[in-house]
Amino acid sequence: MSALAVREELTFTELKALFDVSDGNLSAHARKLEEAKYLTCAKSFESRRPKTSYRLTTLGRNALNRYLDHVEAVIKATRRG
Amino acid sequence: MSPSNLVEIDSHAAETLQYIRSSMDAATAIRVHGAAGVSMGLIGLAAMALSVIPRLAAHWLGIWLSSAVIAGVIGGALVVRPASINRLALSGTPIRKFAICLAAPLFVGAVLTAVLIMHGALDVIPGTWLLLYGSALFAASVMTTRTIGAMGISFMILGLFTFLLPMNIQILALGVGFGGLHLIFGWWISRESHERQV
Repeated sequence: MSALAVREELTFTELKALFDVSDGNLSAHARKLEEAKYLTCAKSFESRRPKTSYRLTTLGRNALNRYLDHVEAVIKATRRG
Repeated sequence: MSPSNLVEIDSHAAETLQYIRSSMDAATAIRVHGAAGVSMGLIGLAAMALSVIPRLAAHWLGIWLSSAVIAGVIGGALVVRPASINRLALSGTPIRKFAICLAAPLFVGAVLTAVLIMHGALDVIPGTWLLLYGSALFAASVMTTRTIGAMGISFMILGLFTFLLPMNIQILALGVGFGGLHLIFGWWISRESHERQV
């Protein structure tokens, strides 16, 4: 989700190379995020080869922002303590 | 909760943030506006138009050096860094890598230009500029898109041919490169980004 926050769209192959994960692992993660409506998935063909592209939804972006806020709050709170 | 637990939570949160930041850096491609190419192309064409005027032909070097500075400022201003999300600012790594890739060949170009002027070898300056500018773009394409890489290769090929041309035609080759190629690829990049938005 962090990668998709800075790129309009990333393909399955690009995400796989970026995070160095297996097909199954990435598929499972992407499916869960898609079910949560955090990502949209588009399937197409490029030079007769299937291409799966992912985009972050507004819901996903908001969720990521909330998560980052939370993590930052944890750091601030613990450092104050 | 003991202080040692607090330290662990803190470091885990910091690691998470670091991971997210590095993921963003790795996924970030610097977006170059097509407008940057078009603007630089128009400046290149203007420089060519000025340098073929017989009264100004002797000042071609000054005209092109001035236009390079103007085009560099405008092009630099139009290279937009993707917006960071929320308060998590990008660390700046992609833009730094992009600048480093561009800077080395451009620095070599500046030094070689001074050396060639000192030795009076003006007839190899246009080819050198085109070749080194092309290599700068090609190197920087690692952080951008393949279109920038294709533009870099086009400049390099044109630079190689320019070395073989007579001096008066070399000025036109500068116009073809810094004017024409910038315009064509600027238009192409604009079209690509428009298609992505549709």
